[in-house]
Amino acid sequence: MLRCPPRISTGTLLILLPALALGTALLSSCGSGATPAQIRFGIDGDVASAKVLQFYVHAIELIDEHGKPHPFRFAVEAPWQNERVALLDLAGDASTPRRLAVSGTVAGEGDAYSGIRLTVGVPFELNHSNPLAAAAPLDRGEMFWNWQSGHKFLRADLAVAGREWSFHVGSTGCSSASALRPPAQPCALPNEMRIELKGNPLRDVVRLRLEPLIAAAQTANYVVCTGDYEHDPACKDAYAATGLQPGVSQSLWVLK
Amino acid sequence: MRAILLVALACMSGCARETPYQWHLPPGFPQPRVPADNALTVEKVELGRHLFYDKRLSANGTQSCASCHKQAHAFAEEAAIATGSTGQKHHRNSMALVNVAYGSTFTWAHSGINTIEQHVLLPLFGDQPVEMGAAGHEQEILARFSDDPAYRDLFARAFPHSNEQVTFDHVAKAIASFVRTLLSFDSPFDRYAYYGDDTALSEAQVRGMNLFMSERLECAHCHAGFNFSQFVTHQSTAVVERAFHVTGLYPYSETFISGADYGLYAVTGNVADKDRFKAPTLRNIAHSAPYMHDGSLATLDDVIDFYAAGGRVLTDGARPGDGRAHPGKNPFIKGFTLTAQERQDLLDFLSSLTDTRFLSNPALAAPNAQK
Repeated sequence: MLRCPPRISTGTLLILLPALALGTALLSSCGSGATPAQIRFGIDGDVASAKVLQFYVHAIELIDEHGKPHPFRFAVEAPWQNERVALLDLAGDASTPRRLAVSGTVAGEGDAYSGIRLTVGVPFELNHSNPLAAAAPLDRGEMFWNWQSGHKFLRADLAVAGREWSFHVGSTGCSSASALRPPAQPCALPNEMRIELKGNPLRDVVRLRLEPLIAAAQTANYVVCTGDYEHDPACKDAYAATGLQPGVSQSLWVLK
Repeated sequence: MRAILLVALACMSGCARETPYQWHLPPGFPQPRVPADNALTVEKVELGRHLFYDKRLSANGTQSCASCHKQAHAFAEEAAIATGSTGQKHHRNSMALVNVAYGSTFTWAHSGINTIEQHVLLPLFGDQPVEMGAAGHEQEILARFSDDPAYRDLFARAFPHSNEQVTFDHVAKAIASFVRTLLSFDSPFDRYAYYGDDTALSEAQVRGMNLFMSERLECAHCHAGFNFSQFVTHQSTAVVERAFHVTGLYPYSETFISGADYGLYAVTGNVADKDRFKAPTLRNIAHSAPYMHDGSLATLDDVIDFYAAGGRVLTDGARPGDGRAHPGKNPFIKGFTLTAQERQDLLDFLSSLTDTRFLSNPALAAPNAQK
């Protein structure tokens, strides 16, 4: 975990400047009762089967030993995160940069946490605007459907035994004049995934489990699932794993 | 200070001025990336326009870039496959040049050609097949331009700081500069999408657009974003997606069939890349028939039939078989059915991507001297 640096002389500071420049956003919070922190993300499973694993997260809270939530404030680090939303990118070939952490600060001192809550999704008020004019990371064309449907909250493109399969999760039941007009009211099924995980989020890694997705791809006979999660047979198992189905706990995420 | 003044005075009497090119983009649009060593100037664009339309750029003087990239066809051509200056047949359809300033990789299936400057060298010097045929005729071709006072002036204005002006490096940079200005953002779709004009599209076009964007048809998965292609980069993009797809146009073949075009596989040698091609832009698509990398589908109706069937079955020709069963086929190409009305709506939507000004804009046409 990152900590506030000890008080140092100006001379030392000059020598350290290049390294410190990397963390100005984090340092600026020191002394205000906020502790710089990083939430790390990763894959649980066979990395080779993942072609694209990208998702947006927001509304992160760290849960302390007494069960009290501590809001996590996002640092602004273009192109990956703004003050509200962060994009994680866990896979892809070597030519594309990955993003395996969200950085920011958490109110209070210490690092004794016993859980984390986070939302995989994009807040409605940010989800349906022109991606060309949106602030990063909401400017990624491959993570956007159209104004009406908004962003793909989770995009998983897998290659299993030589077959390709995709599972893209975002809001459905969004009403507007056309695909290119934003809805005025929240979508019937927002499909934001609120996840709660036990463990120490400053020590452990939030991991996306590939096993349920690979099994879902096989069950669906590689018919993609990108929309009607409730009714499309190709979506059945993958949708169940998200925890969006009432009464079914999520099995996509672990903290370890 | 005195030195600067002297240079300034000298320039007032003789130096050509480099005028930065002004982009004309819809509100809020990001600007295209331009290579650091080829700043976009009005003077380079003008030289590039002359060269683009000049047949003297081919070794035997019979073809210009515009011979295969015709403005009325969105800078594509009506032939299924292109024919080079020596009469040699190309194995691919000439691609439309529309908003290529935003392109992240060029040609139908290449992962390594990432700037227009690089791409221009291919038709100029390529010999498999021969297009412009410049290889081995470099000095002869350059002399045609350095001997022409009008071109000497155009080169001097475009590259005022170079000692040697008429070079192929400058030819490529100038043509790339002109091609970068082939921008099409004035279609009814653009007015609806980016200028907020609800009246720009008919009801049928809106219905067709909703179908295009639907999960039932999944067109927009690969023909994505403002250019209807995944290969887009601009000044705000952090990551460039380069996704090449198998559409099911041809069956998978384990063994190598001579003369077959395996797309990206020819570049990477990776078997998984067999028959992978780029999803081209759909802007002005109603004017750039025929379709697919080899021009093998004549009309948009044929293309809709093809995707509705999830690929095609070939009973004769060099590669007979069931393209629908290609193991590498993109899983979004799963087939669909349309009513007659829906099909017409979809065609109407594709027509809304036509930018009539782009197809006839004199600034993009041949200079008067070359008409």
